[in-house]
Amino acid sequence: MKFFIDDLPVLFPYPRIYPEQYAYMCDLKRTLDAGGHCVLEMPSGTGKTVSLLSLIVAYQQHYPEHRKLIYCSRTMSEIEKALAELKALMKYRSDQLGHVEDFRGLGLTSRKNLCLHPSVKREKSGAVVDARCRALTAGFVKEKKERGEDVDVCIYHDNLDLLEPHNLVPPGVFTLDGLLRYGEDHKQCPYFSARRMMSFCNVIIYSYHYLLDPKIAERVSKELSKDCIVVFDEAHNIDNVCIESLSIDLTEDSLRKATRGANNLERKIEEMKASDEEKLQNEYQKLVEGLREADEARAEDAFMSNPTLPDDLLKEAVPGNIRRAEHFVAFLKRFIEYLKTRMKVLYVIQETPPSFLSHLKELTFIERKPLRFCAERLTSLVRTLELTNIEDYQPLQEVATFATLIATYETGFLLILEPFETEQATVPNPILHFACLDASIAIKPVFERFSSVIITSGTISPLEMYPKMLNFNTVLQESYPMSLTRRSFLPMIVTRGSDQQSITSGFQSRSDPGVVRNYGALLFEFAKLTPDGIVVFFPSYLYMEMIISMWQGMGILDQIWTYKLILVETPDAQETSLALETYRTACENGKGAILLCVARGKVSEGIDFDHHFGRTVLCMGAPFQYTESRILKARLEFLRENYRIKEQDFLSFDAMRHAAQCLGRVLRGKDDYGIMVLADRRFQKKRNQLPRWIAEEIHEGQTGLSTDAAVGMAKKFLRSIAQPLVPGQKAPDGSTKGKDSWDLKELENFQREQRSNRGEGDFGRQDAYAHDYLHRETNAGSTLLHNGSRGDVNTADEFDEDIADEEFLIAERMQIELVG
Amino acid sequence: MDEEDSVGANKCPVCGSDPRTHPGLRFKINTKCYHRICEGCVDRHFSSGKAECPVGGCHVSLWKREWRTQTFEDLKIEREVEIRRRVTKILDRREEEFETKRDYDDFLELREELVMNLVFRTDVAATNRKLKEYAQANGIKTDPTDGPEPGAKAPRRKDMAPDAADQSGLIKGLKRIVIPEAKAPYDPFMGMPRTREYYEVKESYITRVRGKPAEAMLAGGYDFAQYMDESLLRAFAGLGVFIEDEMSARDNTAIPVPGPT
Ligand code: SF4
Ligand SMILES: [Zn+2]
Ligand SMILES: [Zn+2]
Repeated sequence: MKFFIDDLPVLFPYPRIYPEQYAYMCDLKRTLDAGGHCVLEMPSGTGKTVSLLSLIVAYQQHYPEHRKLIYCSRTMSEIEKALAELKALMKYRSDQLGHVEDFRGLGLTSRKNLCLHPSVKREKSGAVVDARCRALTAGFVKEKKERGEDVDVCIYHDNLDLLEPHNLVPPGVFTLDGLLRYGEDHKQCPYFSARRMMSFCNVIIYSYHYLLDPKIAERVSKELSKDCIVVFDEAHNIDNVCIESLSIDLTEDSLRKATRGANNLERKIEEMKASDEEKLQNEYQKLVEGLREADEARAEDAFMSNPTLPDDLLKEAVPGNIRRAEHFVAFLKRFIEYLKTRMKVLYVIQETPPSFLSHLKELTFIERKPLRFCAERLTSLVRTLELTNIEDYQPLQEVATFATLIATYETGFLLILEPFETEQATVPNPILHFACLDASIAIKPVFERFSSVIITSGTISPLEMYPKMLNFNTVLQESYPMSLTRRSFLPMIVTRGSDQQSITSGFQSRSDPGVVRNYGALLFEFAKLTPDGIVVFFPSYLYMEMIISMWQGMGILDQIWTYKLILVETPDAQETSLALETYRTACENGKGAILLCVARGKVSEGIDFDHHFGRTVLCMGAPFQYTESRILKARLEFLRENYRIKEQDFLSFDAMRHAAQCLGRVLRGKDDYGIMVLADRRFQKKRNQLPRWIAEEIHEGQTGLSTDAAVGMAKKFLRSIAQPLVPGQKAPDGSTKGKDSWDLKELENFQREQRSNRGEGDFGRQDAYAHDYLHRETNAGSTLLHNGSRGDVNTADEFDEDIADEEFLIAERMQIELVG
Repeated sequence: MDEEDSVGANKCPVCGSDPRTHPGLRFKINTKCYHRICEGCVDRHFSSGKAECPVGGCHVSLWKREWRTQTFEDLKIEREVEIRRRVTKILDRREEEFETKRDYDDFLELREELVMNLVFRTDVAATNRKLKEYAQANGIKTDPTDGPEPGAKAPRRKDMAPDAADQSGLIKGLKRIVIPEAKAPYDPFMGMPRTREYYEVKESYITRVRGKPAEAMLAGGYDFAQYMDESLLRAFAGLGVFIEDEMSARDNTAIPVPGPT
């Protein structure tokens, strides 16, 4: 259908549109017009991606700036899905417009997914694929080949040089699959085709890391222009991605390997001195003169790039004491030895970077300046030595990354040495964490560089937490309700077992047999009544294991087994995918199954349980983080001191966003239905931190339930939903009220109505409130739980006596620490 | 250290104690021969003053205080750091002291070069000589044993400019030493002549107030001579001033008369 938002013609590839999609598009447009950032929460399964793409493509095609879209998602499958949507959209557009627009849309993912080289692509690990590919495609390999030496090259890569550099693939949209096929047909490397075409694309779809991880961003995203529209989809975990991209862990093992790498380098230098002294001399000369191989350093085949953010790169020449290759290697060795010495300590150390640097200098005479150049110097050396088995140098590279980071950043980072893996362990297995505590550091260049950054997800409540944590300003923040003609999902909060004992996964009553039995009974009841699949989320692996073994002892598992197959997620990815496969099979044919998984595991983040794959989702306990983690504690402290976010607020926000993720897993569309059970008394007070579309469906009667009451409600719900939903049901009076989707005429009616409303004295009231307004019409039946304080993380209920146990414990502990 | 090394060499080379059988065994090293022996052996061999290193074949003589705990697992690094400490102490220049960053970098490389020479035992004699020369030229005390003898004049190389910052010529690119020009003392009279042309101040005056010596006038640091001087100056200062002459003199200098030069 084609409609207008203000003056902008939008082509939407479906005959019907959901009201929330329309509202979402209006807000997007406002953000783009204003040239700022926004945070938008759109219920899962309401066609977020297609709304986003239709609006932005319409925008870029309509206005003369032709702003490019950079769409970032998390997983391969999400990227592929988005590409497919884009392809369908472009096809629809050309059908409607009657001509094919000059348009390119490409996705980029790692070499591992896009490689065509017959032997390289069979490697299991992405790092090995990268390393082997580099060995085949590095600049010096080509030079050697030109000199007539016999070296291995990748024909797929070299073929690209025969093509026009700005037209490696024809215009149009390529899905990853499509790109692979095109590459195979034309014998050209899909990975490099996509990468080199980045700057010629109208739409780029790739993973977060290409923008957020400075190691990659520097190389891949450097040339993107300032007016690009950046979208982070599924962004509820974006702060963690940011933090991870600047954090690094070192172990004794990696240091040992790094030493070996340094020794290898030393040997290679000796060899090269004997055979080809000139090359080293050339490198040296360049470094002396401070010549930065500006473009070469960012070349596709670079061994590693600088791990720091572009603004923090030093522009001067490499310090004199690491100019010579052999001096640099000695420097690295000394640094590694120092780190090894630090690892010997048997108690926990927390240290700021400046303190680390001063101690380092005292002991080894290593200064900050050369340390900062480590990553760059190593890259240059590796290139000069023409090393091909680069994967051997990975640990050394890690050390160099660490060196550069710690010498660059003073605040927002903490060095934590943990000599033992657990509190009980007696054999030391030290890990040196260099932890980034400030999520805003990594994302800052993105906000500064691009005029519009859109952060969106199905579950990104409370919205104001993100601008706070990531330190940016928004043009608008919105959360949309889900318009439904009838209730297709039933969220409930269960706080008591049938015996009226309150249930919680809280620290103190964790292993209380009464609680465990009640959880068991809850699962058993739902196993009985739910058709097909049930997904159960536990706060942690440890807790899940404990509960399962206790259930085993109580005979609960045997009872459940008579109704459903039970499968368990494990930390091992392969085991989990096997379990998942079995689970799916069991749901396809048979009584269905139960999948027990963990709220922060792989399943909770990336796997959809649509339709019969998930009819009930059970959250057994609120997924609070393990607060004993020192990194978390440090981060909490940092957030408190720098962004005024209280520990409890952050922890409960974090728990609730994970719970919301889990709940969202089972509802993937409007024709889907499911039961959502939050089983922990602590959810009672926190329910208004859930995304608006879920929170609004939790009516007063659905909270504080006992197992029996919940079961009764669920049964009634299942009976009422017995018939599949017909999309776009007609309301009896034929008006637009109470519709879950509109056709073009209904949309235009709505627009007209809205325009006239705007004229009526309600000055300044613009489309921004379209959804509130629309909400009144669509979900008219539901009680409005939503009020101004929803999602406000500072609401008073945080301080009720009923506060979560963990939170109390932390608070107590922190006090003790302060006193002690 | 190579891996085989670290496993086999964990025993005390003197008494053969092994930390695996003697938990808590601690080792000490010295920075002369870098032999590593257990604490017990240090106590036994060095309790009565200077002695030879007990490791077979090593005849370095040491004091007990020269044995210390090891910082780095790798003794090569331990030694390198020790060398570095010595060299850095001698060649201790900051970036601000150099003309350009390039010069500073060259200095850093030079230092690195010297350290590496000592570490890998190449050109040791030459390197040590350079360091010593530099130390003497710049008046840096190195070791109490080989420092410059008191009163010994630092050798000056003839080809060095006298204001070069490093008289030994080892380090290049240092900023020249700038001796600030001595400033004239402050003159409150701004160059006014203080010659007494019309009067003379006597060595002392007898002050009398109504015929009696006035002791009160001497109290509180009151300098009668100065008072007299000032009064006399006021009285006679105007005598030599001829305003017209001065005016015309000023006008002449202010408006230069055009003419052949
Ligand atoms: S150039 Fe492309 S096809 Fe060749 S090895 Fe690298 S990723 Fe694979
Ligand atoms: Zn001994
Ligand atoms: Zn000895």
